[in-house]
Amino acid sequence: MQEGKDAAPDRSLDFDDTFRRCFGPMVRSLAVAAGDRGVAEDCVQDAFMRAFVRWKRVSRLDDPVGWVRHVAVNRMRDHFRKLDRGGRAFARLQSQEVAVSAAPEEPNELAAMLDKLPAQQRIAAALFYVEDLSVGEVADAMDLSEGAVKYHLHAARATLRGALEPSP
Amino acid sequence: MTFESFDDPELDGALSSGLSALAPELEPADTVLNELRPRFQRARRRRRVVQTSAAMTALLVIGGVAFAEAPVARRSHVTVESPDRHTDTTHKPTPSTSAHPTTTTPKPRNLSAGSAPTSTSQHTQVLPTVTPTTAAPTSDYPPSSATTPPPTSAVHVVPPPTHPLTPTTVPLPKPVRYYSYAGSVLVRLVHGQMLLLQVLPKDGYVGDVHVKRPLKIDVWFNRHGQMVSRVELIVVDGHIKQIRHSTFASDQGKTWDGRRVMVAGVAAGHHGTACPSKPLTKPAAQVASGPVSRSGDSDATASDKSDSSVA
Repeated sequence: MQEGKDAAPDRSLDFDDTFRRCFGPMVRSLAVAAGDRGVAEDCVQDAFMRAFVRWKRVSRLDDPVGWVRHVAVNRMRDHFRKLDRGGRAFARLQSQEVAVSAAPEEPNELAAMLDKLPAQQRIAAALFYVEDLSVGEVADAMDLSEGAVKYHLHAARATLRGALEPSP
Repeated sequence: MTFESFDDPELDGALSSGLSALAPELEPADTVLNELRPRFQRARRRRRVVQTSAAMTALLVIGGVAFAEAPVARRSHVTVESPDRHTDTTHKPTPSTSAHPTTTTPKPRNLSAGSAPTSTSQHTQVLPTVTPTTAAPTSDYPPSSATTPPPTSAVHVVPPPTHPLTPTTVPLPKPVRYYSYAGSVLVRLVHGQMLLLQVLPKDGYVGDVHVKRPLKIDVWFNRHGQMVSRVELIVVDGHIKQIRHSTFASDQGKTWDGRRVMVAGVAAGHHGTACPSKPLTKPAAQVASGPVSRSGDSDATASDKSDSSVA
């Protein structure tokens, strides 16, 4: 019985350590991918909440952090899908002439280019460049093959290169 | 960043720094964790509730399925469901003893939880001389027809009760035994509903409760897998009536209890074959053990002869 009491705080400590170590980098990278800090925080918090309620099982995995990141990335994809559906619905409803104010100018050219990237490329680039993950870790998080991740990274880099090069 | 296909480290470095600069600055993780901890706890409680509910639902479903399957399983095991079979020690009189055979009817068990009888009620109901107000109603017996001799009450000899009567006890109706060529059925009428107490097939026969409802009981007696006789009872106006008492196949033409056994299809509508006071044809030891099917050495003809001699 004493062992059980000791085991519970240990698990809790492990979760706390994992949270302290990984929450910030995950939110930062996903915030870059989503372009919205709130969305990124929601996704990562939801992933950690799911990990917390089943931490007994998740902590026995080879890579608990990878599991949490994978859940967060999936939530991010759901968010992108939701945005996509909302955009299509909005386009359908725009049959009548509606005065739409111009979008505010992007303060950062790199951010504007990043916003034009497809979701997969954005997530791959954010995880690879911001959270400094390896291609394999990005592949695990996105549930893709390494070749697919390389493809997305290559495409993203080719697009973003224009934003970094000085304009003539 | 060890992506080997990237041959431009400067571009990678610029992208890394540029994208990192876009990342927001966050609060310390400890602060966020403390804020999120109640939410995490609530989520864990919700998950446990869901798991418990799912487990209980599964148990209920399994229990319901098992309960639904139970009657079918009982029917496949043939016959007697009454706990009375172990206590019924009715003796069959031998022809050589006397004209007044002695029948001992011990106190039966309380059969159902809904019935109100107590343990003292059985003696009070079979002895009308003790307290007439608590005597068992004799109207439960089916009316005797002209072809059926009325049961003689003299065959029942019940010892007097050894304990004082309780005025608040409600007597149980007296169980009634209905006979067929191949066996007998013991039922009791309680609150206008029949309770099947015992199915007692003769040697070589197997009893099969075909219908067992509060207002109708149909018991088939089979031999070698074929139904040769059946006892069908219904409740009409608060009385048990035997509407079928038939014999089939090779048992046609044999006699039982001094009467001609009816053949198949002729028995419907026949009344009055109930013999509440008729003694059973089984020895007490066999009856007490409550066998349902026996592969006895005596055939049906021998049983008929003994029955006829008793009658």
